[in-house]
This record gives sequence, structure tokens and C-alpha cells, in this order.
Amino acid sequence: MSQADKKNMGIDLDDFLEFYLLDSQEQIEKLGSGLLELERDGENISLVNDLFRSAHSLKGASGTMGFTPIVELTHAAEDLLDKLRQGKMLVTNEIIDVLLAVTDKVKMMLAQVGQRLAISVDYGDLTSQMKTITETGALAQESKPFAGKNQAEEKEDKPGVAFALSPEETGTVREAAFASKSVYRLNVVLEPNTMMKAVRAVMTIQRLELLGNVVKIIPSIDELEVSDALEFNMLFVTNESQEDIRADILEISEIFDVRVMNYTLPESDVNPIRTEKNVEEPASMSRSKQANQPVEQNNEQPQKDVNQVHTIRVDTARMDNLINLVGEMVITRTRLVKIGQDLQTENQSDPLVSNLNEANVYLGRLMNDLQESVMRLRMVPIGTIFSRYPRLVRDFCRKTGKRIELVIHGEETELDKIVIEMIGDPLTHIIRNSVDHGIEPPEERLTVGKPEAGTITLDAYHEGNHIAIIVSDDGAGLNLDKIYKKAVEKGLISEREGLSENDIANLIFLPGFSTADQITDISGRGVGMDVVKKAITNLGGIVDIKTSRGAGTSMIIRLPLTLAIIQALLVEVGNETYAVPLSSVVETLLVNKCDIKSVGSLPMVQLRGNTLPLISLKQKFDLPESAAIHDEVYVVVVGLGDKTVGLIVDELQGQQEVVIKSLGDYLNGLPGIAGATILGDGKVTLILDIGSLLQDILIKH
Amino acid sequence: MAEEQMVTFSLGSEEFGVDIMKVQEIIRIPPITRVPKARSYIEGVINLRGNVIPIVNLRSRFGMLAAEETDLSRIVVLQIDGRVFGIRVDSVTEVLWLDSEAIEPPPPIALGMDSNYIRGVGKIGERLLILLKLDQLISGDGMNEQIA
Repeated sequence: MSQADKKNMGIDLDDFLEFYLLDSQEQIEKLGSGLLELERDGENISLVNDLFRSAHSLKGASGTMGFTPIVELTHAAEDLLDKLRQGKMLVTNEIIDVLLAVTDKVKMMLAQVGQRLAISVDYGDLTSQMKTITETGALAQESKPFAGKNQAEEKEDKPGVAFALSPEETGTVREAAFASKSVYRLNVVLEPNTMMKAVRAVMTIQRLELLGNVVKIIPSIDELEVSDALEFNMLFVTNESQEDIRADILEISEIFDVRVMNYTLPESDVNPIRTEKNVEEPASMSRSKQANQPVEQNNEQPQKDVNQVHTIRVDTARMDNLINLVGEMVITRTRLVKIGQDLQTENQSDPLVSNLNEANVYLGRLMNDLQESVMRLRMVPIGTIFSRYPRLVRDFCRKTGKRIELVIHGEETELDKIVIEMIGDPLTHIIRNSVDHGIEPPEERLTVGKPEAGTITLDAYHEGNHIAIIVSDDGAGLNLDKIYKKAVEKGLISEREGLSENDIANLIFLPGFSTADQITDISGRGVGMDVVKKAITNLGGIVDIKTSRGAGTSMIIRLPLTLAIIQALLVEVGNETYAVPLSSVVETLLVNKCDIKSVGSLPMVQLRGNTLPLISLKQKFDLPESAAIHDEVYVVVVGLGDKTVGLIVDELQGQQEVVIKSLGDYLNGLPGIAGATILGDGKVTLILDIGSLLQDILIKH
Repeated sequence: MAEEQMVTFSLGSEEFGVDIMKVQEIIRIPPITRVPKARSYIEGVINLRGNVIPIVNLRSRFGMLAAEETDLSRIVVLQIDGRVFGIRVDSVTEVLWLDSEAIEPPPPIALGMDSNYIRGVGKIGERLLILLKLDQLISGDGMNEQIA
């Protein structure tokens, strides 16, 4: 703790930088996933607005920190998004591609910032590309969104501004017409580099209110505040002449120009019966209309509120410290309970003692709850990594012309932060394999009578103490015959071995299958699958594969909820207690000493026809001989993969959940020791490293 | 006149001093868990409020004979470069101020122990205080060897 405090002293900028990075990465993630959504639903104007806001806050924050390249890039993206949200352009694949490229570039830049390097990512081509789209795209498609919708308005307002009016506003305008007032559309252009655009707009409104009635302003004041638009439009009802209005507004400083034009209600607005329909259509074009669209927005707005999670960011080191302290309180409580019991046996009648014991029981319940809540702090929803896959799949589809739909379930399933961080890459690998080799090209799919678009399903759910992650595709499935032949050819299995289909499928996890020249031979799969398996095994998980010819393949990954807590078998050797990770325990045996034979220098025992090498922990760890000598010894059979070894121990103490702690810098890398844990009595117990013990025996052989 | 504040402790008949700023706390001897294959002077690890820290047996480190644990035995928990470890001593004697001028460099033939661990010798009247060089205590001659 004091170490962390020291680090923070005097380097405030670093703190800001960390905060900036976290925030920016979040915005970029939002942008990335939002763009993919926009690709599917180009009409969703509130989405465009969200994206615009993300880009804008990213720009703002980067500006404050002085990262000009990011500012310039996001600024161009913002312009483009602005055109989209004003309805001046339609969403095209090209735009999505460019904007996605921007998120990639910014990510690279942020990575450089994170490493405290100067930003050297080249981005000029992207900005110019965006500018071209913004300019030409705007011209080419300018009037398109409005075509045939608001004809009357289009005639009047050349650049195309749709004042989607609410029924009341329409009423106001119509009344004005009856009262023979004039209805004008004002187009106010601000000087370039005007700092407070919203203030200018407010000043304009204030002036105009003296002359008449401002019905509507587009974009709204709020939007003006955040946008880069240098102009705004107003609907104004008055008795004054056009010239007077113009002169009056031009008196406000930093107003570059004002155009005052006559405004007539769009045809559909005049006809009250069609009002409803008219209101509906333009709503997809401009944000300001949303305010008038409670009906349409209803289904979107509440959903957004649900998604808004109220969170704070906490340094993991602080959290670990908290978890430590809670563990320590649990241990102290057991001492209190012990004292209470001792007191009770001495003075049974004392009411103070029973008071103490009652309080102890209550404290125990509180501690249980507290411990559980603290453990939950480390849990993160798996959606945080699932969210990167839609992009992966999309990019691949664009490249190959395959059509694939990615279906994601169970994003809210929580597991330990460390597990989350480490499962990302293996999952990417599996999904890439599914996309690459699992799903067939569209033509092929059609000929076998499958829908043209393939489906990859990503699912996660809790299963007892584990979490299951399933990646399944409806592709061609594995070619088991080929895999079998290849394995025999490579000498990985012998021909005599009777393997089930499932066994054969699992052969792709063998290291021999991962060399590059075999990609084409075995229907593609198996590229580095041994790496995937290893990563998952390292996390204490297992991976299984289910495949059916022509119908698809599923990868089932099972992971422990947390790495910090494991199930362990406690064993006693020479008065010391050690914890053996239960995941590597195969079985326990009681072996008669005379059945232990020495082969070379190594003790062995016959187990169901096979010889099992033994390790005497007592000798291995130079422990003293215990006083009592028995004819029989306990043997804990441990295994990793297909290699097993028996550990000779004095006693089995039972199974328990233990919290893994590091032994620290000074004692790292001791052979046979994976870490330490603290048991209920407060004593440190070492956790055995089965992998290194096994390796020891293999080297000796 | 510069002064240094020291925590002093004894091992057998010798008296030692360590810079008070390096001392995190002084505790009674808790149960110590032996760590197999660690270097001989690492007595084991203890649970310090949820953190596992190694304990150096100073007697063993300085090649002195082992002594029985007494009521006065203590562990001095040190923090050096953010890393925490404990040293086991026979007893903690006092906290005192030492005049910098009273500190002399270690004698060439140090008092029967490796002079790598000695920063100097402090004189307080008749008493001689061996001032320890702490960063050498646990990792002095290469961490890698301990695996051998």
C-alpha cells in the first residue's frame, strides 16, 4: 500500500493520463460496437447521435491532453457523423469501413500513449478520405433522404432542413397564418471559430422574442453546444419585415450572415389527418425531432437506462488488499470463537460469556456475507470480451464473401477478471477457425440445402462452480476420417487403438496437428489448437469438442469461476501440511509398504496392471521422519494430461477451498511449490506444483 | 550534527542496529511454515495479516549456532524497496539516536561474519553496535542460486 502511495506522489499527470486512457478506450469500444450496429440498422438516428457523442467526447478529452493526431482524426469522424445525423447522408458500407478504420487507428494511438510514446501512427489518408466522403457524399446524397417525403418543404428550403413540427407547433404556425402574420425560416450562419455557439443562438432567440415568436430552432441549443455546426435554422412568426429581422440579428457579434426566407407548412402538415404519418417519417432524419416523438422513442429510451451501469473504477491492488483484510478478519473471528468456547467451559454461568458467544455467531454471519461480497468485486461480465467478436466476424465476412451471423448469449455471465483477460485470445482463435474453416462458402451451403448465411453461436453460462463457454457453428463439421488417418500417419496414435468419434475429434488438440502444411489436409481445423488447449489448461479449465459431419462443430470450454480460489486436498507429511490442487488429483490409495518396489532409484507400485512411479514428499522436501510408523502409507495419485505419479504422504486431511497467495519475489520459482495459502488457523500452507513434480520424475527417467 | 535513529537488537552477545525507517513493525514469533528447497537461512514463511512473507534466520545467516526460542525472541519486519521480509532476532533491545560521527567503517576482519552485511560500527560509550546493510541480507548473493 505504502508503495502505491509513494508512486502516486507528485506525478498527478500520470493519474490523469490513466483516467484519460480508460475513458478513451471505453469510448472507442462504444464507437466500434455502435458502428457495427449501425451497419445493420442504418436508420437508427439515436444510435448515430450516440456515436457522435462518443466521438465528440473523445475529441474533447484528447484535445485537453494535447494529443493532436487523435483530435484531428476524431474531428473528421465527427464531421462525417454529423452529416449522418442531420440526415444529409445515408449510412453506407464505405462510411462504416472508414469509421471502423478510424477506431482502429485511434486504438493504436492510444496504445502508444499508454506506453508513454509519441504518437507516430500515420492517419493523413484516413482524414482526407473522410473529408472526401463528407464533402462529395453530402453533395451526392444531399436531398435523397427527403425525396418524396416533404416535397413542399424541399421547394422552399434548398439546403434541406426539416422542421418536423409537433402538432402544437403546427398549430402555432397555422394560427399565425390566419392572423396574417408572416412565417419565416431563418438561416443564421456564425463566423468560423465562434467559441460559444449556443450562447449566440440564445442571444438571437432573445432578440427575436421581442419581435415575434420563435417556434423552433434546429439544431437545438443543447446540440449546438456540442456540435461543430456553424449555422442553425429557426422558424419564426412575426409582423416585422424580413429586412428588419435581418438587420436586428446582424447586430449580434460573431453572426456572419442571416437569410430570411418565407416558410409555408409542408402539405402533409396542413392536412391534420396525415399529421401522424408525417411525424413518423422525418423522425429518422434529425435528432431534434426525437423530442417530439415520445411514441417512437419509448421503446428505445428505457432500454438505454437499463444498460447504464453505475460503476466506479478501482485499482485491483486495492481490491486485493481488501480481500486480504477480509480473509484476515475471518481468521481472527475463529480465534474469538475459540476464546469464547474456552471461557464457556470455565465459567458456564457467566452471562457475559454467553453474550460474547452470541455476538460471535452474529459476527460469523456478517463475515460470510462480507467475504462473498468482496469476492464478487473481482467478477466481470464476460460480455466485455464477447463484444470484440462481432467485429472480427464482420471483417472476415467482408474479406471472403462468406455470410455469417454471430449470435451471442449470456454476456452477463460473470467470472474472475484474470480469467476474462486470459480467455480472450484462445476464444479468438476458436472463432477464427469456425469462420475460416467451419462455415462453408454461400454456394456450397445452398447446394447442401442450408441457409446461405452461416451461424456462429457464442454462449456462456454458469455450471456449478464452473462457467461453460460454448462456441458452435452450423458449418461442415470435422472430417474425422482424415484426422484419424493423419494422426496414424504422424505416429500420434497407433492403428490398433480403438477410438470413439469424440476421441478422434479431440486429436486436433495434439501438438502434432498444428503445423502449417496440414491446414489444407484436414479440412483446415487444427491450426494451433494445441495452443488453445494449453491456454485453457493453464487456467485450470478443460476444452472438449463435439462435431457432426455436415451439421457443425461445437467447442465446449469449462473454466473455474476464479483463479484466486481453488479446491485443494490437504495432506500431512512429516508434521507439515501441504495443499494439492484437487483438479490434478486422480485418486487416493492406501498402499502396503511391502508392495512398493524400487526400480532403479525410483519407487514404484503396481496399479491395475500399470506401474505407477512414486515420489516420497518426505525425501523430496527433506522432512523429518514422523514418530509413528505404519505398515501402510497413503498415496495421492496426481496427473496432468496422461502422465500420472503417486505422492507418498502420511495423512489425508480432507478437502477445502483455499485462496492462492504468491510467495513473493524472494521465494519465487522454488521447485515443487506453486504458491501458498492461509488456512483457518492462520497458518501458512504451501500449495504443491504438480506440473514441476511430474517433470522432475520424467527427467529422472 | 547529523543523527540517525536506530532499532537495536541482540543475537547472542552481539548487538546490532538497523535504520528505523526500514522497520515496518516488530512482532512475536508466529507459527513459521518451512519452505522446502529454499536457502538454509530462510527459516520459512509466516502469515502477516493475510500476506505471506519470508523469514530470515539471522543466526543462520551469520553462521552462528542456533538458539532456543525464548519469550524475548522477535521478528523484525523490514520493508526494503517495497518488498517485505522478516528477520528473526533473539531480542529487541531499544530505539536510540546515533551520532553520524560515532559510526566507523567496518573493520577489515569483520567480527567473524561476512563484512558484506555490515555498514559500519557504532560506538555508544562502551557499547559497540554493528550496523547492518539490509539489502544484502535476503538476496545478497544472487537469488538464482537458491534453486540449486
